[in-house]
Amino acid sequence: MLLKYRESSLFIYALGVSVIAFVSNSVGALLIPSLINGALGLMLGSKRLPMKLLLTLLVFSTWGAFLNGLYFHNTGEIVVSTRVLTIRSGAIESFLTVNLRFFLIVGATLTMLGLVNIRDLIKSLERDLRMPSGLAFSIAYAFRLFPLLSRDLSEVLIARRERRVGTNVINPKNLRSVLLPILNLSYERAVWGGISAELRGLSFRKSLKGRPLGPGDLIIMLALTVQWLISYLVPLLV
Amino acid sequence: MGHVIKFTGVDLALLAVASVVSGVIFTATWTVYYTSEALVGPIGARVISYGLWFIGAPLAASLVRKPISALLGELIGALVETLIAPLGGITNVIYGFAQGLASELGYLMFRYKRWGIVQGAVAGALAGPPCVALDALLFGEIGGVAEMCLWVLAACISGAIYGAIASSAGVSVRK
Amino acid sequence: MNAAGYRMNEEIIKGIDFRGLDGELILVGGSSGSGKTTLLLTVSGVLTSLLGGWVDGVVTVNGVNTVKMPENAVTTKLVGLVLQDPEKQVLMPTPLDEVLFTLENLGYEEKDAVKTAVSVLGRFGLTGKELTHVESLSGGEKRRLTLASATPHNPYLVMLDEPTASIDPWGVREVRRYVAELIKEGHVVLIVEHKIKYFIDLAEKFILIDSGRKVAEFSGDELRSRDLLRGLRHSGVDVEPVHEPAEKTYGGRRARDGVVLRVDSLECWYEEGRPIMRGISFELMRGEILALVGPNGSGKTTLLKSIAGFHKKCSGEVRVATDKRAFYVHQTPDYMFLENTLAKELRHVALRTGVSVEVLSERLPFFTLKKELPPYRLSLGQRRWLTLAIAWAYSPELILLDEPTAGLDLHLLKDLFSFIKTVSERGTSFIISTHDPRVLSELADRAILLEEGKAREVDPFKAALMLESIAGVY
Repeated sequence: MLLKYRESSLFIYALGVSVIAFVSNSVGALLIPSLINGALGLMLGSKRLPMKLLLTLLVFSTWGAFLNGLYFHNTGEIVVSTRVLTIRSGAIESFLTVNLRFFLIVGATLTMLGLVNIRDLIKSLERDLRMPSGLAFSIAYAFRLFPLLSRDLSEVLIARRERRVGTNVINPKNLRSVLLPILNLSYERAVWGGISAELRGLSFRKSLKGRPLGPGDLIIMLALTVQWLISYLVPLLV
Repeated sequence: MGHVIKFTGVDLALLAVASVVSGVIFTATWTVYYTSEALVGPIGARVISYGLWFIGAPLAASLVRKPISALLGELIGALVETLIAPLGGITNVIYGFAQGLASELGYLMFRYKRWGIVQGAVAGALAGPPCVALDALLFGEIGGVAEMCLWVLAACISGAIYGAIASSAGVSVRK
Repeated sequence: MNAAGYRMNEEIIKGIDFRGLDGELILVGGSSGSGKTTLLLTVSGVLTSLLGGWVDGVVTVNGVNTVKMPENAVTTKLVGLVLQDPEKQVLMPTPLDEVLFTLENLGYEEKDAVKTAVSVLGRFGLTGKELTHVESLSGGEKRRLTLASATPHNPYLVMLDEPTASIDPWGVREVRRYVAELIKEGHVVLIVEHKIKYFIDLAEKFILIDSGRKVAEFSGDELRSRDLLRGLRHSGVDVEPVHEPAEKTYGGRRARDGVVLRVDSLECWYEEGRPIMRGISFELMRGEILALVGPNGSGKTTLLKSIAGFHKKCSGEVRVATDKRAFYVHQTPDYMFLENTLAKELRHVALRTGVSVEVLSERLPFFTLKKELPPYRLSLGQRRWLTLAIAWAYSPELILLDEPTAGLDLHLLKDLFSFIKTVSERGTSFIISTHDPRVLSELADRAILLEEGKAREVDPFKAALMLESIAGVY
């Protein structure tokens, strides 16, 4: 890719596009942005992300949207009618909009994640969007901790099996005693990590120099604006 | 507030801990939500799962104990969730901001003087209404007045329960 | 310095004075809780500037009084402090960011910062790993990264807090090489350690502290005398390398009847087709203590977990004599705790195992004093002790200990040994993975060396000597 762009621009893009999902409530407004971002996301994000999981989720959410539509918006003309259920146009419309929103949001997020790595994104948020350096430190440290915490969790689960107690983390009965050792360890790490950060001059830190906007950024912003316009104009035309 | 709140390196590191723990739990909650919705319907699902999506704030606040720590904990938790497993997409960040802000109010009500279990429960419960409101916008989940009230109530109860659990863990960890 | 502490009326340090010259290594030794780490935090200025502690006295580093710095100033440019546990001070996801973090904080321009960081990483043998996630680094590499990231700006004073606590002898050798280089470059180096044996030949000064007080100071020349070191054996400080067989009078007393564990042509892997060990076969008798040695990454933990049944990617045979399984104990004791007070923890164990709280608490000399404390608040030695007691209560035939001595001083080590001996006398067998020569020379009946995917039986005492010689002190 020769076009230079700031990673943070893609962050703004993904957030900006997602706003369309909140604001628009018709199939017409959502259709084009959803197709664009859904396709982009599938293309760019498939390498980096667990697609199986996403597809499973897609099935769930489609089913959920279908039930929702049937339950809350089953009004208007009758489209399908069988002995068991009657589906009216409102339900179909609601089913479609919810799914389009899902495509839009996940697609935009996947587009962003497909094009940037997390490290560069955090750096760019700090230098180009002037995110306070303390917050940038916090987010970067969270990503340093992430694999450590998953290791902690698997060790805690081993110990729980040794002691013959439940390993279902989501069960509220277990949640606290699973969280406690992990939090205790993390607390100790965080205290020393914080000391180490201060020793290495965290409070001296000045924001890094931002980079000028490149042609890539303009294209990204243009794409965002165009999609906003589409979602605003199409319902007026149709 | 007239003065600037200063976060030390230790505060920021604790904030990261709260965020990454909640980010992981947020991700797992999707499974809980869908499974429980299939089993016990929309209201039960909200009681069982929604509070899990609110625990970033009480966890961070009970560990860091400074103004805006609740907001930041929920917000960064949501950001972490988006970046590790984009199941809910980047709208997570919008939810995180709204829920975090609501929870922050809970601590503000106590003038940022108390960071205990009661405050954690209040903060968790307060995150319920904005979350249900955003759901209504995004997923068209709009029912009748009675139904909406029930949902908000379910989300609040769930928030209070998990808020209490999260903050009790936080309180016991921080001497 | 006269006194210092974290809270008013709580003196951790009560009178320590010393001075160091350019190109000198000052070694501070003392048992756990003697105030070693507090001393470093005081000298660095962090105790007063960040932790809200107080200091009565003066610390002067190159003309600057570090305990009375102006508000919000930290002594970063002057002092580099490497903390004890690499896990607790690596802050960034990648090695490059880790070093950049320090440099950017100090105001380096981005280009210079990256250039410097890459060359510093190269100096510490981390070329090619600049952008891998830090969690995929080995223990030794993480240690080197902490050295690199604390000192990329060449601070005048370099301080190291127990730099050998969590690494294998190969890593110890690298730390020694680094310290020697610092001395040659004219830095002042301050190391606090209880295993001072690893640095004694490099030091110009040794200060022994106890309960925050300086009890003795020796010059470099005095340190070369073996008699003096022998005299320090009971101070809780590990002053001498293992060089003579310990009075291991006790191994013969146990009845060793019956095979408890049989491992036959075991092969383990993480990725299909790339075994990390193969053809592992050995037997273990009832009541036997077997030490497992080998460099980090040789698969010691994997082997223990395979025996306990938690590592599934393996073939071959592992048979534990009875239906009571082997019990695996991780080196981080906190993983095992479930309750929020020691008393509740024991009640939980009693409920599951049928061993009464009375019997359990008899095993824990610190029980009455600490029973209302969370288990997490016990000292490291006590927490290890507690995990052992828990494991014992489940009455397994075989207990698997992963690095149980890491971070323990000599006193705690002896306590742990005596506990293990008592339990093994009643017929429980142990497999202990370790880098600690003392486990081999004072505790183990047998030893297995795990290297390049193969296992071979070695004499425990010879293995101890081998570990010391790899570290470069024998």
